[in-house]
This record gives sequence, C-alpha cells and structure tokens, in this order.
Amino acid sequence: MDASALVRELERAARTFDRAGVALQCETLTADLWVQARPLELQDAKAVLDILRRKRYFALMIDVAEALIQTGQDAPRIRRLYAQALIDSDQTVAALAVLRVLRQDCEAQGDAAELAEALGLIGRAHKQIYVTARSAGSEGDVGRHLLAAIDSYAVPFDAAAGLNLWHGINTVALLCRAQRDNIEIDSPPIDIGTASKAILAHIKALTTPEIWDCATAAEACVAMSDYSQALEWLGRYTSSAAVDAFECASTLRQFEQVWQLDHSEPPQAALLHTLRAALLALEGGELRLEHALDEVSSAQGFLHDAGQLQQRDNTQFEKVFGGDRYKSFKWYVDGLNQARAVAVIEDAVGNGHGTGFLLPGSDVHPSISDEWVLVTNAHVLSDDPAEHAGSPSALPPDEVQVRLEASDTPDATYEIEAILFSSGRTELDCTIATLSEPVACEQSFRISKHLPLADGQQRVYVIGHPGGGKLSFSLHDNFLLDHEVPRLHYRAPTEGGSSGSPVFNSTWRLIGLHHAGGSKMGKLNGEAGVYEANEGISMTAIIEAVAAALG
Amino acid sequence: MPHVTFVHGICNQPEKTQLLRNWNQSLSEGGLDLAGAGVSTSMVYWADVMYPEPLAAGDSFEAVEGGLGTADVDEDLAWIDELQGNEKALVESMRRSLGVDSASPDGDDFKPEAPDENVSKLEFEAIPLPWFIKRRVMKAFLRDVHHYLFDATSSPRPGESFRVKEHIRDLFVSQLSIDSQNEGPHVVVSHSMGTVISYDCLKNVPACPAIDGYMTVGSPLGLSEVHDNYDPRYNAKDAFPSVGVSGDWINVYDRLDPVAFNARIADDYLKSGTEVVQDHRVTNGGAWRHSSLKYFAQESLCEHLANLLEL
Repeated sequence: MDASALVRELERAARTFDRAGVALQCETLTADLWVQARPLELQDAKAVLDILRRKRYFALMIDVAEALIQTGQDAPRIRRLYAQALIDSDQTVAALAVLRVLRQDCEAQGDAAELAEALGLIGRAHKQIYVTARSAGSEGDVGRHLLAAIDSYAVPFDAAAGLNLWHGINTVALLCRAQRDNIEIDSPPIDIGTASKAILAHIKALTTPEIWDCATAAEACVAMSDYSQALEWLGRYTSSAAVDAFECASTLRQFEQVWQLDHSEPPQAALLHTLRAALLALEGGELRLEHALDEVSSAQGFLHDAGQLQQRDNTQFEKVFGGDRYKSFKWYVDGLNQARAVAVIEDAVGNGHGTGFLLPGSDVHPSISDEWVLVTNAHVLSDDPAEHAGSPSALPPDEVQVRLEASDTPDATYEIEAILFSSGRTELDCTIATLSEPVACEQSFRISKHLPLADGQQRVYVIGHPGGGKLSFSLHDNFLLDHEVPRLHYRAPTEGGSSGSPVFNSTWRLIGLHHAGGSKMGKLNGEAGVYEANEGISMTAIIEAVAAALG
Repeated sequence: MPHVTFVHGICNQPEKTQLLRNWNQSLSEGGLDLAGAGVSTSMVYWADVMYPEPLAAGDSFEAVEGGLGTADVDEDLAWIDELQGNEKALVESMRRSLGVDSASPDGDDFKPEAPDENVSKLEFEAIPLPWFIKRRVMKAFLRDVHHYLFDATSSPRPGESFRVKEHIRDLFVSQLSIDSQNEGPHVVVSHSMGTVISYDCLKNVPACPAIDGYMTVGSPLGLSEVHDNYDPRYNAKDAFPSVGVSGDWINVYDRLDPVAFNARIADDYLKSGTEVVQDHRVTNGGAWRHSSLKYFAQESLCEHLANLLEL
C-alpha cells in the first residue's frame, strides 16, 4: 500500500467534497490494512483521521479507526481520535469506554500530554450527555455528568494551567452552568473569578494568540460578564482564516448550550450573531434557527446597534467590526431576512410536510396583483390525483396549512385558496397557489435574471424546513455544480422535507426552487455519469412557464 | 449571458488571471458578485506590452500607499528628449500639468489647477499621498499615455517589440469580438489609462464591436492633452462614441484621484451637443485614491454597473 498516495488522494477527494471518492479511499485502506504485514505508520494513520475529522466524515472516521486499532495501530493518539469521532457521532457511552482505558494507559506510561487530552475528551463526553439531557427536559440524576465533566476538565488545568487553557475555561463554563442549574458543588476545584482572570491575563500576554486562545478569551470575558470585550475577542476569532465551519460551529454550541447566552439580551445576542454570521459565510457551515422570529429580529437590532456604534465610536467599531466583518454581518442579516418569506407546509394536524415560499403575485405573472402567492413543489402540494398517488405523495389543497415561522405572526396558519399553476414532478415540479386570506409578508425576494456561472466556484444557499422541523440554512458543501435549463445541480445536501425551498445565489437573489436530491443524480449538459447532487428548478424557467400557461 | 470586459490602467499589474480575480473580488466586496449573478468577465491585458514581467505575487501596485510597487514605476523620462515638434510640446505640457518635475519632497513647488470645481485649494493640497510616490506614478502615466497616443515602440523583453497603440487596439478589438458573442448585455469597464484605450477603440476603430454599456473609472479623459490627440480629431460636441456604445456611459471618479484630472467629463463628451455621460463621484479612503480596487469596492459603483448589466 502506498500510504502517501492514499493520503493525497483522500485529501483531494475531501477537499472537492467527493464523498464517494472519500468512501472509496477509506474502503480501500481498511481492506489493505488486513493484508499488510505491519500496522500503518502512526503519521499516516493520523493524517487519514485528521482529514476525515476536518471534513466531518465521522462515520468513516470510526470505521477507519476501528480497522487501524484492530490491525495494531493503537497508539494513544489514534484511540483519542477514535473517541473524538464517537463523541461527534453522539456515541458518548462508547467513547467513554475507550477513553477510560486510554486514561489508565496514559497514567501508567506517564504520558502527561495525551492524558490531558483524554481527560478533556472525557469531560466533553460528560458535558455533552448533561447538556443533551437537560435540553430534553430530563428530571433524572444528570447532575453527576456535570460533576464528572468538571472533575475531568479541572485536573489537567490544575496540573498545568498555562498549557491547558481549554480545560480551564470549560471548568469555568461548567461551574457557571452548575450555578444556574442550582447544582451544588461541595468544594469547587477552582474559583470562577480567579480562574477567568488568570486565563484572560495569560492569553493577553501572548504575542500571537492562536484562534482557540481568542475563543477561550471570549469565554473568560463572558464568565466576567464583560460582553463588550468578549465581542472583540470573538471578532478576532471569526476573522481568522484558520477558523473552519466545524470549529466555528463548536464555539457557537458552547455559547448557546453551555453558556446559554440569551438572544433576547442585546450584549449576549451580539456574541451569538457574530458567530452565526461567520458560520454562514464559511464553507460547510450549517445554521438552524431555534426561534426564527426572535433571532431574525435580534439580528436586525444588532445590525442597527452596530451602525450607531460606527457613528458614535469608530475606534470601538473597528475593533469589533473591522475588516470585512461588518459587511459579512450585513450579508448574514440579509440572509436571515429572506427567512421571513419561507413557509412550512403542514398537513391538517400540523405535521411538517415540506417547504414553500411567498412571492408577490406580480413577480410571477402580471395578472396576479396585490397578493402574495405560495410557491412549492407539485410533489408537496397539488390537486392532481397522480401527484397524491406518487411517492412521496402530495397533499391536496384542502389538507394543507401554511405557516411563516419567521414572520411577525409565526403561529398564524393560512389555507390554500386556489392553485393557479401546477407542473408535475417529472416536469418543473412546481405548484403556485393563492392563500385564503391576505398575508402581511415583509420580505420580498429579488429574483435573479441569470443563474450563477457553472464554474465550480459559486455557492448557493437553501433555506427551508428540513424534515418539517425548524428553519434551517443549508450550507454544507453548497457549490453549484452545473445547470441546464430548467435544472440546476448543487451539492448543498438537504434533508427530506426541504422540498419546495427557495434556492439563493451569493447575494440572496432567488434562483431556483429546490425539488430533489440523490447520490446518483444524472449529470447535465450531455455529460455521462452520475454524481451526488441536489436538483432545483430555475425560477426564471418557472416564470416563463407560468407566462405560457396564463397568457 | 451578460458579460463585462475589463481594461486595466497604468503601471505594471499582477498576471492576468490574478488581476481579473482581484477586480471581481473587489466588486464582490461592494455587493456585486458578478459570477454569482451569472455574469462572465474577461480582461484586456496590456501590461505585458510595457513591462517585462507581471508584478510578483504579493507585490501590488495597489499597495502604493505603503510605498510598495513604486520602484518599478520610477520611469526614466529620457525618451522625452528624443521627441520633436508638436509631440514634444504636448508631452512637456502634460508633464507640467501632472507635476512630474516638481523637485521639493512635498511637492510644494507644484501648483496645480484644482481637479474639480468643488475641491477647495486647501482640500487638494491636503492629499496625504507622499509626493515622491505620486511623482513616480505620474511619470508612468505620462509614458503610458504618450506611447499609446503616439503609437510609440515598446520593447519590454529582448527580441519583442510592439507598436503600442496598434497592438493594444488589436488586443481590445479581439477581446471584444470574442466577448460580444455572449447574449448580453455587454459592458466595458475600464480604469485609468484603460479608459483612454477603450474610448479610443470604441470611438475611432471601425472594426470594434459595439457594446451595450460603458463605465470609465478614475479616468484621465478630461485632460485636454489626451483628447486633443485623438485621431480623428476630437470634437466635444460629438465626442460620445455613439456607434461603439449603444447604451449609457457612466464615469466614476474620486475628486482626489490624482490621475482623474478634470474628473467630471460629461461636458467634454457630448452626444450631438447634449450631455449624456453620467459623472458619478465616490470617495475612496486613504491616500491612494486612484486604486482600482477601492473604486470597485464602492457600493454605488456596483449599483451603476448592475444597472448597466440589467441585473
């Protein structure tokens, strides 16, 4: 086996989001491992797992790590990466089993560095169990996981405070969480205020702090309720080219789930919006809105405050929004605003069935004026019996209710009044309908006259209700692959239930209606072969078809 | 598909692909993502007619504020000594207008006419661009504009020699011939010396394909020494390139841009005696107001370009 060649090919496949290629390389590797006389070199094994981790191929990472360990490459580093993949796949119990043995081995071998990492992961696993259980409303004895997490993080911090800052800040964060959750700790391992100050002072003294140091400093400031300084550190963190979507999402989770920052409190919301704006702009990022209306309103407020700050104190403004951060934040808020016109299409009892969006009728056809129309897929909503019999089956108009989760009236439901236009799932897969009562929609999409260049560099954004759940911006690997009227192919992987979602270009102009996805989508423009892709229908093609149908 | 043909300006440039990427990136920062909006782009690249090799990666003329990139624009003006007659007189006139020969470190001995009627003398003198840098840029500008207008010979590399005007006109017309095959709209966006080239071709070269929209940025087209030397002869009342440009002409300028002399040009390029060119003022930050990247990152410039492209 030529390990170097394999690593290079794996790197290429991962970089180009060639999932099938990544899976093939992993399959080849695991098969080869069993016929090799010796275990794979640690350096190569680590390189493979690092590539898979960076691109979040956790399932493949687990498979490869299993094979590596079974064939004799069971160095602490490999077992740690294995445990990390298990945690990231929500297999925390299995991860803890691996980590306990790893901890014992590191203690026995006196490997302080790996021991600190193992303890940190043990802490992370317990933290994740605690946070998940509390979010689910658990009344059971989950506090022991919080205590276990605090103990695991505190030990390495206590042993080498200057080196293990991330252990220290997690200890601080979880002690604060324990206070908020009224969990009593008999003898806290550290004093929150003292430790926070020490961590911040240490990072301030660094000539060139690493990106993680900036995130840690921001957390230390939050612990001291200094949200203004926290925002400056987060500004440095998010503007670093070294931050990828995975790291940014992890930091956002820490602020949302552990620190429980409140998006209704402007100073705290500012931190969340800064991270979300950065995440939305990063390749491979994913953003889901738990409280769509509140979050959209809060982001607008923050943008307004930022504008005021610029006029009042440009120095402070530059610290927080310098470089391109203000522009990227405006872009983020613009994107959030689009969500106001995105609808969840539910069945009669309120189960999510698909996504749709509102457009001014006159944008669709000149004869439709003074009212908003709903645009979705024919396989989501149709009055054609053939669509009801299809799989997935469309709902008839009288069994549908429509809600706008990010509008000012998120609980209001609308019924379908009439279907104005429909084109079946094998054609444009589009239904355009009027609603039973007027909608006060504040957001009107701008429709792009042209599709982005199919040069492999353009990104598209899908906003919908995956699985009928919360509003979500689909940002994974969201490159436009190709287009051929009326279809456009892109890699943004959308979950079931995203059917009927609007597809936007990089400046939030509507370019298409999402309708399908698959791992073996036939290529366009006469190219042979298949690829993993999603498919949308060009909005201009739909409008032309409506014009042809309605005259 | 809409298309934009760019034409770059004075001094040496990064290699063509990088320059095109830089310009698209700046427009994107201004809110106009051309590729995302389905607009293809190309570049009429003529720096290699004047310079032996492109600027190295990381070395940018646009970084002139920091003094970078000026070493290779400190032109030797000995070529002027060989000129004669009207050509010499004109170059000497332009040399005086540009303040190329001012000797004092701060340019105190150069008393220019205000480049725009709205700029106070105090404001103009407050340009923080170090004079030695500005003087070098002006020398490069003087050489480029002379060599183009008078079709001088340039030998940037051993064994290679170009008639500057003839060759650059060919480059421009060839690129437009390719680009005009798109469905359109087709817009030419030129900066600095590129505006002299694009205007000359659109106005004076019969074989040049027509375009739908025209944008000049940081243009010296208001300099009388420039328009007095067009061939055929310039006539302000009919100077608009009516055959070459079927739609609008937007001229974007910063009044403290040292190259965009007499920055407002609407009254210099009339269409059948009527003002039709739309002069649009922007304010670029910092000392180096002539920067193409600063111009393209201006939101209002991007809006005008989007309108020309009918996006």
